[in-house]
Amino acid sequence: MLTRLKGGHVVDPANGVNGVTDLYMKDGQLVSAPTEPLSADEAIDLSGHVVMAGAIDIHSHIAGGHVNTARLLLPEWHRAFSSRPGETALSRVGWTTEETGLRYAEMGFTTVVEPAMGPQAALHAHLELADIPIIDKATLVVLGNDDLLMSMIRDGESEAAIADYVAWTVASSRALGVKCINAGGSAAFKDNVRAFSLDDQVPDYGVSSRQIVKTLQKAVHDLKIPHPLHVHCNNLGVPGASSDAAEATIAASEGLPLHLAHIQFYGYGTEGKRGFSSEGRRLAALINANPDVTVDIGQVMFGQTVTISSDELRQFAGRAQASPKKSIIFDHEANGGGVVPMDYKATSFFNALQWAIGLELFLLIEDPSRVFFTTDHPNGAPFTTYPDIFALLMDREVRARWIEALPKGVAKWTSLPEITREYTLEEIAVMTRASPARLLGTSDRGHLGAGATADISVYRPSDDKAEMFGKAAYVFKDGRLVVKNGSVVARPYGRALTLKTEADKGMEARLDRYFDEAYGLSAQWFKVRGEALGRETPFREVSCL
Amino acid sequence: MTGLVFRLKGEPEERLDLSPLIPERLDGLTSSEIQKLGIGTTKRDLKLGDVFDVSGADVSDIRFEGGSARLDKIGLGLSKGSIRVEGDVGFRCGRAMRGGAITVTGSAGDLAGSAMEGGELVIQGSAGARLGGPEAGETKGMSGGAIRVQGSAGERAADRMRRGTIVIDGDCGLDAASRMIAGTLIVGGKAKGTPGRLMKRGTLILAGGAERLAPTFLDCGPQDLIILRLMARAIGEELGAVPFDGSPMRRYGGDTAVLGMGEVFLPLR
Amino acid sequence: MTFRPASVICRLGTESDDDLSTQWIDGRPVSTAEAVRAAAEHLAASRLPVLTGDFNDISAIRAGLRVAALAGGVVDHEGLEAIRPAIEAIRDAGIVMGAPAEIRRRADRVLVIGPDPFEGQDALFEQIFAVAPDIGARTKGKTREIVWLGASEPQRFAKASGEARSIGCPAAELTEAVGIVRAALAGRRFADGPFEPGGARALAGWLVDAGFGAVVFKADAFDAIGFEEIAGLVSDLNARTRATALPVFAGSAFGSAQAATWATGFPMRVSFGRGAPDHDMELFKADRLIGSGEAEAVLLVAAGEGRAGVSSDAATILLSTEEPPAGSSVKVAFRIGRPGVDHDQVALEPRFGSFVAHAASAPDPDAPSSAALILSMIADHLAEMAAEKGAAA
Ligand SMILES: [Zn+2]
Repeated sequence: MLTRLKGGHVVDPANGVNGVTDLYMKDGQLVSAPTEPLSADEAIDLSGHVVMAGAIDIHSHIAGGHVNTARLLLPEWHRAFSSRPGETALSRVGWTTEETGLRYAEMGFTTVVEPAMGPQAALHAHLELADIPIIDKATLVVLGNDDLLMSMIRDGESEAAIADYVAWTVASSRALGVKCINAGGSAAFKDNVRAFSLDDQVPDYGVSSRQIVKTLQKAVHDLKIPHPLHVHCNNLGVPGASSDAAEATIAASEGLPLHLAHIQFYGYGTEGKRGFSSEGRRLAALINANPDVTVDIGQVMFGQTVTISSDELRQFAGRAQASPKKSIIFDHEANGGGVVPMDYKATSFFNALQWAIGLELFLLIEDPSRVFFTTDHPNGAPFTTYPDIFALLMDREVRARWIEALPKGVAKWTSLPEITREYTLEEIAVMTRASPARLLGTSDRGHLGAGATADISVYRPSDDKAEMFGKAAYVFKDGRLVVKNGSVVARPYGRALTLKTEADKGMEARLDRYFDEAYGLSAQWFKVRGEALGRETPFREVSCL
Repeated sequence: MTGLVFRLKGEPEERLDLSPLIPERLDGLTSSEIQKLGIGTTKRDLKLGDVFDVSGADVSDIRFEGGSARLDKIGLGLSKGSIRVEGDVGFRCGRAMRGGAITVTGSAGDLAGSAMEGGELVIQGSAGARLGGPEAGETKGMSGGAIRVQGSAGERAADRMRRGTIVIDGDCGLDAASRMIAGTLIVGGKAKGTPGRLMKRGTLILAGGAERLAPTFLDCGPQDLIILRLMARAIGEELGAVPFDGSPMRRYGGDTAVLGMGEVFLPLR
Repeated sequence: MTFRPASVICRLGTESDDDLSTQWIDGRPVSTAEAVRAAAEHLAASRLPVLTGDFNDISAIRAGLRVAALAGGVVDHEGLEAIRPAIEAIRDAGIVMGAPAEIRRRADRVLVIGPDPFEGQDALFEQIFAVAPDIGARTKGKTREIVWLGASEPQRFAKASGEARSIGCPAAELTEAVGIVRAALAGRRFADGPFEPGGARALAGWLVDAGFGAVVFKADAFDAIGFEEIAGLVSDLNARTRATALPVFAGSAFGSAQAATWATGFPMRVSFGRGAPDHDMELFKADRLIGSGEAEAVLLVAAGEGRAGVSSDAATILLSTEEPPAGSSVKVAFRIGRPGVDHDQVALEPRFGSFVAHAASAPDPDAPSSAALILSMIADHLAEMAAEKGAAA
């Protein structure tokens, strides 16, 4: 069936379109306009609406062992729980797999990346992803604290061998890319190290964090994995040390692409009597000057949330700030992690400045194709706060109102009040559609050209950008209408996007032995098979470069 | 204006969620709107009128004629006015209440007075487990107000209690005052199990003795404390006669597994 | 919002629609379609149906959650009560916990507390204790030392790599023994309890001096306070050194609880009576619901071997790997294939600390359908009934 989407204002920067035009879709894909427009079987009038490709979130913790542990740890936040009077901020979150899909779709998001899948928890993550309706999903698999990688570096094994190991991990876990989280930090923490920087060495291995990052960056590049190594730097959240870590890591890109996650959490200096200040302007300048680097923000918004991270060292340190006072820390094999509840208070100088630093970075990084829209859900804030963030970026009056409400003394520690920039619709489309698709290598999405997957979000223009982006007028997923007037009307299941790659046979045999001998585990257990997920089409493969 | 009366037509087949029946939520509703309040907990979508006859009008003076162990969440979040139940109540009676008064002439289920912040809850019969305690995952139990149970109480009474007073005239079940943070628990009968496990601060007056205390409670000897007499008098004024009179008791300090600043008073015997 | 979770399509094995030997209504052999319809109608007509059993397959619990959501029912697991203290302690107070594979390679000192955690877990025991620690600057090459507080099986560590000794402690005093060690660690006062004079301080010192300590215990052997006490000890130790807890879970309840948690936010004992999931460990306990008459229909999954028949008087839909008992309250019965044997199975693997997909060990095209498939078909029928009702209204 040929459907004509008629008369909408199409904002499709990937194809240079920004104006009123018709779109056509057939069998779940966008197609070229037929010679006879009236030949469409169905026409949907979108005049007066803004039409974009479905939005893509490149970094949102939506599934897997740590996310589920957070659910287990925090039953008291669940909305339905015993009809308790009063609701917490997080009680509005899509907390279950079901709600995750619905809430994202309602905002016009159609692809979301879970960025921290431990290799041993890959099946768990994919089982959860399989239960998330509507949206397509993808994962980044975590390496960089694993015994084998660090041993291979120490023993001077070849780049090719390391690349084979990385390829095996990506293929087994059905990931789309590779993430490295405080490289070596969790392993060092297991040796009772409590502070760890880029040039510190992991005890026993004698390998530095920098070596691990550089090795993985090279392997990802050599394997032609589209998404560059996704780096969670050392010293997250530590005033002074965090911005040093980001600066050093940016400098370490050295001509190859590198993605730095939730950069806001690194924008902290040590000035002032509280020893906490903004390095947002300086970090933005460094990023502007280094075209190899892309970043996502990890914007903080006020309210109760929970931090979920495989940065075990950092999460352990964060236990002291847990609110409510409880946390779960994991010593996984070859990895670690932690779940620490967090209450970002609008009345707190620190939290207010964190909020401002995120926006500084959003607004001072000049190229919207190198900065990505995230809250590091739920670490900075639940993804349900996105509409408010769109408003903050697109409307300086909204920003002024928020700044006015900040605690006394915060405004003078941030350049935010002087920044007049407002994101345009086109820049929003670059940041949340065109550019994420390019970063992930998923050329079938993020744009509305012929051949693209018909993931389309349609918004009713409004001066209130939060309203506009909070409830999409229509959302099409694979050409099917799934959201109308901000409410879900159909809930098909999407797929997990996985990288089309194959493991080397020699490495396969080596890892069979390694996991058995080193850990008493079967290497086969790491392999995610589609049949275990109980969906007709669990995966869609994405090609390497 | 006469008080609002809910007369139970018969034993309900399913558990009922009676949390809408507090003055704050009933104020301004017409009789027919009250009849239509959803109080069921199954897909039948039971309405109040299916289960209760309603009479009277004063929402600040609510009375349930007839009780059942299936009547859950009576007085949940109450901040003012009074509720009297002639009969039994189910789970979570007076949970998270901030003010006002609830009297139950029969017995209560689990989590009575759970995480309550203020007001007064009197249960003339017995109470179930976790009296005044937190809901799953919550880090705070009772943080204010007063509870009196004239019968006995179930396991883990005063769990994670932070402030306020609980008086149990009868026995209390296993491991009362577990994880207590502060506040006062007074038990007239016997405290079963090991009371005070993981308590950081707070006061237990166990007039009928304890089955055992953990080795992380240290004997501080007999104490004739003026504070005990003052306490007996003050609590007596608020909640009626208390099951201890302020005469000397043996004091223990603990739980030293954690902070160890709690105190347990046992009879000299 | 109404909860309508995943449709789990699990077309594993064959659908033997014409096979009248694997499903019955009131003891009468019927086709799969008839039995599915009867089961769905029965659940739909029930005021509050409850699903319980052993759900030995994550695909089955996923499908079961969908049935409960569509039928406005409750989901429980027969093994949940045993691990309830563990769940309650973890969510009330948190924990620092480790994977067995990491403990194998790194733990130089292991404190085992209480009843033998490795009973029926030989593979896990072997994984952890067959070798000495071989990584970590503080731990590599050390002889592993094992202390068993409250030892119940003297020969358990005979074959372990390392040196084991035990400290006697009556089961009823284990929690307070752990509390004593915490007091000793913090330099607070305590009475010796089950320890010999000086024993508690020595044990605390031994733990503090570990390079990477592990505290291993049977997850269902302690009440919630006892579990929290052990987690507290590990937390205290981490202020000074590294230590990690390993509560050993047996059976399928914890895996099922995790699947329920992602689907509903709660680790089972979830009711969909009002649409959105509601949770209560006590009120939504299957035994209590059935015993009190609040639930008048039961769907029981008996995927384990040698299981007793149906004990309740409530009308029951039975999915069993064995022939259903005659003359009981069973209204509709399905013979199901054995997970992991006749059908693939997804289950929590203790050694892995996560889920593993097991291929059927003896796949048989003639084996009865999996529980997951039967439950999916019942759910699909319930969804159709709801759609028809919606269309009619
Ligand atoms: Zn993240």
